[in-house]
Amino acid sequence: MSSSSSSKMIELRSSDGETFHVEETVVLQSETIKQMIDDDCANAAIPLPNVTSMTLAKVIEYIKKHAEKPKDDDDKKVAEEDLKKFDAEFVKVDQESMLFDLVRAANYLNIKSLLDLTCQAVADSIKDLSVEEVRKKFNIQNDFTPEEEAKVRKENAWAFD
Amino acid sequence: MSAYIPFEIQSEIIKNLPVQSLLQFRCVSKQWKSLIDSSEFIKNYHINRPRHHFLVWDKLGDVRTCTSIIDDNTFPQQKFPFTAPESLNSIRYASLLGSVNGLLCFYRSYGDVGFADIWNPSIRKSVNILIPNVLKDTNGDRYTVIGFGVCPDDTSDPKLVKINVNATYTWVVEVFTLSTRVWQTVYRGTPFKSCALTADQVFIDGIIYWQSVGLDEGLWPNYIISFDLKREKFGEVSLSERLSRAENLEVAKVNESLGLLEYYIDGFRNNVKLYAMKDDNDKGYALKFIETIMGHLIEFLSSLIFAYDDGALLQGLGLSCSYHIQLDSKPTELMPTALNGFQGCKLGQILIVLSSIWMASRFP
Repeated sequence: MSSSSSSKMIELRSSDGETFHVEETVVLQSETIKQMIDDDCANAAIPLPNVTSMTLAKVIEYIKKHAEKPKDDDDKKVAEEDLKKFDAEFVKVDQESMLFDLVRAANYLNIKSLLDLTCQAVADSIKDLSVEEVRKKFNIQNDFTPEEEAKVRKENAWAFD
Repeated sequence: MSAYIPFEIQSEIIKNLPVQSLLQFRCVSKQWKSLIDSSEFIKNYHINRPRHHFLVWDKLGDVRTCTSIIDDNTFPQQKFPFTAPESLNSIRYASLLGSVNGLLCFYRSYGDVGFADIWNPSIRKSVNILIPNVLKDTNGDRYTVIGFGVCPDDTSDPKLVKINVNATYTWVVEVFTLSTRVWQTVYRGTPFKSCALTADQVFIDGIIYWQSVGLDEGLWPNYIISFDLKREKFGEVSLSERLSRAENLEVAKVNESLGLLEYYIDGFRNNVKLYAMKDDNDKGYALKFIETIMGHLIEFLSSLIFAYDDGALLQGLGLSCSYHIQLDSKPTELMPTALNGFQGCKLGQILIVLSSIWMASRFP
């Protein structure tokens, strides 16, 4: 198919200076970018100083896949299944830091479905961790006194029989 | 490894944790604790990520047993016996008043004392409430009906409503608030002269609906009586001529709105018709019901009935428990899995409950 007027290209620039060309209809899934386009700030390349090229490539892969429109109802069911599989594979990243990068990017770009997907993936990966491991993972200072912490632990002790 | 993730994003992640992890992670930091304990978080938790819990009840002799199956991707492998609160095990004749936001409320009475147990199966916590001055006499002239709901305001406080009806149809209505543990008389009078309330209730959007029966004409017409927990006011839902004369009608929750189930026998088959509200905006006391689903009907062991159609799975329970819930997660897919999962269980009754963390930190 030849490109029509609807497939206007938007240029995105990652923090490390790489540029990406994405169709406007695809990139509108990002509320942040949509706002910039609405405000007429998208005539030149849109700088995304918080997103690296590696992360941005992943995000674009995601929004492109999610922009595909099924032709009819039969197609819709297949497409839904396909999308589910895609999502499941998408969050299987080798490095956990990549997953965190995606969470941050989804949050910054305000792509709700991607934020939900990646947050669920992080939640799944931490749900069986100990409290200490969670603190370490998120760099959280334990601000309870030992007495306070013991008290909070005791409050829910019955839930783990 | 560790990463800098602002709390705003951490909270998005926390929302997606299962109940057991949430309880454990309350002691990660003060910030995590106050988020997980906040009434807003608790209120939205089961809405954002509805996870359903199937509770399969058995009665072995006098002992109730309960099996829990969580409806997620580990289903149906993960199936474990569930510890019901001890107070519940001792209840032989308790009936389920209702399930609201993942809380189940059971009720039973001995003589003039009643007991209600509000139980959150997701966190295995229950609260027992003594209900004084319960009326019961053999010919049913004086009786008590208990209702259960959750205050629709920000407090999201579980509440019980006690309606004492005496022989002259005078109602004395008291409301119990769990956080303060105080009973308060909110109404005294005769709102509906000639109708008898039944224990069947549903709670929708701050309002408890009871099914009731008119006593005046000998025709026993059906009525639906409502009580608004916030305004503390009674109302009546008008029914069409046909529905008011239906022989076996039950209040139900369908798509978060009031619905009705009509049981009838067609030849030798038991059937059920579902009436759902015509329009979501059409709330108030003059609801129009339309017959929507005849659906497929699978019936087995007489106590378990599944009815479903493309848009909604409606799960009905027989006899002593009448509770209905609509599942929004692909009913057609869920059906076969659910049924396979249950084949290993001795079927008693099945409840579908939302995973929720209500009462985790409050109401010790």
